[in-house]
Amino acid sequence: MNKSNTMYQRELLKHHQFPVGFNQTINANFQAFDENAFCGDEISVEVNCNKKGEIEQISFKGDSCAICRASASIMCQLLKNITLTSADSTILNITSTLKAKGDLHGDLIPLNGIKQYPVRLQCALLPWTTLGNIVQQYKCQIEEVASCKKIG
Amino acid sequence: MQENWLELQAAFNKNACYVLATITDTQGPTYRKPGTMMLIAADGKCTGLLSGGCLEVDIALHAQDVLLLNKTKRLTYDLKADAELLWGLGLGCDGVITLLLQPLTPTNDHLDFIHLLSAISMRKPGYYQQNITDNKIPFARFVEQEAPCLAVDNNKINIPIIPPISIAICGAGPDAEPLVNLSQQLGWKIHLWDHRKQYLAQSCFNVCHHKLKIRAEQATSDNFKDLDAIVIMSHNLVNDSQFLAKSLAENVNYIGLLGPISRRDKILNEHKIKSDDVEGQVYGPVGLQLGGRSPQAIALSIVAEVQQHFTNTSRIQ
Repeated sequence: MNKSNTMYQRELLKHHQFPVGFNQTINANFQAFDENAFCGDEISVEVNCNKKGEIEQISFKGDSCAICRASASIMCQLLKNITLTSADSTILNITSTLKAKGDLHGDLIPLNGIKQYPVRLQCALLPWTTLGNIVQQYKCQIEEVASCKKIG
Repeated sequence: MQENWLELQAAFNKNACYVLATITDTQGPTYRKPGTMMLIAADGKCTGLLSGGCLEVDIALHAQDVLLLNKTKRLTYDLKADAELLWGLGLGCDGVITLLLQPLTPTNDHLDFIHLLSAISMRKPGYYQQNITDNKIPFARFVEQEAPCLAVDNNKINIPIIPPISIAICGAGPDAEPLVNLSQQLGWKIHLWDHRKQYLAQSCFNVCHHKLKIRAEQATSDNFKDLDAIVIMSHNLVNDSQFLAKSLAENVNYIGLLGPISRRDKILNEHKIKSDDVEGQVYGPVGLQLGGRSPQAIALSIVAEVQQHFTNTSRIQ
C-alpha cells in the first residue's frame, strides 16, 4: 500500500473512531432510515434544514460497519450549511463516481479506497442514499407548498 | 488436502466462462495457503473457498472485470490491524493474501483447466502452472507427472495437483451412512462394497461414486486398483479377514479395521502377520481416539484418521 493510500486509510479510520454527527440529538425536521441487508448496516439520518433549504444540522445513528460509519461521518462534515438541492448533486456525484470506479476529490478522496474492495461499495453509499431519501421528502414538501400557494 | 476436485468437476461446464482465483502468496496467518484455487462463474457463484469470510464476494466482484477485459489481475488483501478493522472483509487473522485472477473461457481453452479436471478423473497427478504477471495475456497449462512440491517465483506458480482420496468402505450397514456422508463432505471418491443388494440400494448411499455388490472372496486386484484407503467394517470376521488379506496384497496405503485390538490381532494372526509389521498401514481399532461413542462420532474419528494419515504420508514427489 502506498503512502497516500495509507494516509487516506488513516483518515477513514479517524472518521470511524471519532465520527462527526454520530448519535447527536438535533431538532430534526427530516428523517430517513435505510439498511444494507447484505452487510447488516442500519442507519438513520436526521436533518434540520431552514426555510432556505440549507442544512443547519445533520446527524446519524444506527449500527453499521466501519466504512458505512466513516462515510456517514464524512457526509455530516461535508454537507453542513449547504442546501439540500446541492446535497442532491453531491449524492449523485458520489454514487455515480464510485459505481464507475472513478476518482472522488477533495474531502471525499478517502472513499476512493472502495475501488479496491468493491464489496464495500454499498456500505459506503448507504448514508448518502439515505440522505437522498430526505432530499426526496424535501422536494415533495416544496411541491406541496407550491401547489397550496397556487390553490390559495 | 487440496481442492474439492469432485465439486469443481461437477460445477464446470466446458461451454461457460469462469474466473480462476488462485492464492499465490500469503504472509502471516491466513485461512488457506498458496496454491489454493477457487472457480468463479460468470454469475458470481463461487466453487471452493479461499478465505472462509466475505472475501469471496469481493473477489467475485473483481472477477467481473477480469472476464470483461480478458486479462489477468492480481489482488492483495493486506488486512493487518487497522486495515482489517476498517475494511473488515472477514479474514480477521492479521494476514496478507495475494491472489491471481485468470479468465477461463472457451476461447482460451479454459487455460488447460479441462485437461486438469480430466486428469483428476483418471487419477493422474501433475502440476498446474500459471503465469502470475499482472495485466498480461492469461496463460496456464497442466502437466501430467508425479505431483511436485508447490513452487512460486516472480513469474509463475506451479501447483501440485493430486487426485482426491479414493476410499472403499466394506460394509453398507447403518454405521456406514455417517462415514459416507463425512467422506463426501471432504471431497473423497467413495466406493461402497457389500454383498447385500438391498443395503447398497439405500438412498443415503446415492452420493457414493461407485457401489459394488461383491463378496470378500470375489474381490480381485482390479477392485483395489486406484484405491488410497479402505475401511473394513463388514461386521463379519471371515469377510473382514479376506478383505484385509487382499488389501495388504494390493498394498492399499491406508487400511482401517473396525473392532477391538483383540479382533484385529485375531485377523492378523490368521495371516501370520504381526501388528508391528503393518504399523502405519493397518489401523485397528480404526479411528483416532476423539472420545465420541455415537456412529457419527466413530465415523468422524475414522475420517480424521484417514485425513491425518494422508497429510503425514505425502503424495507429493
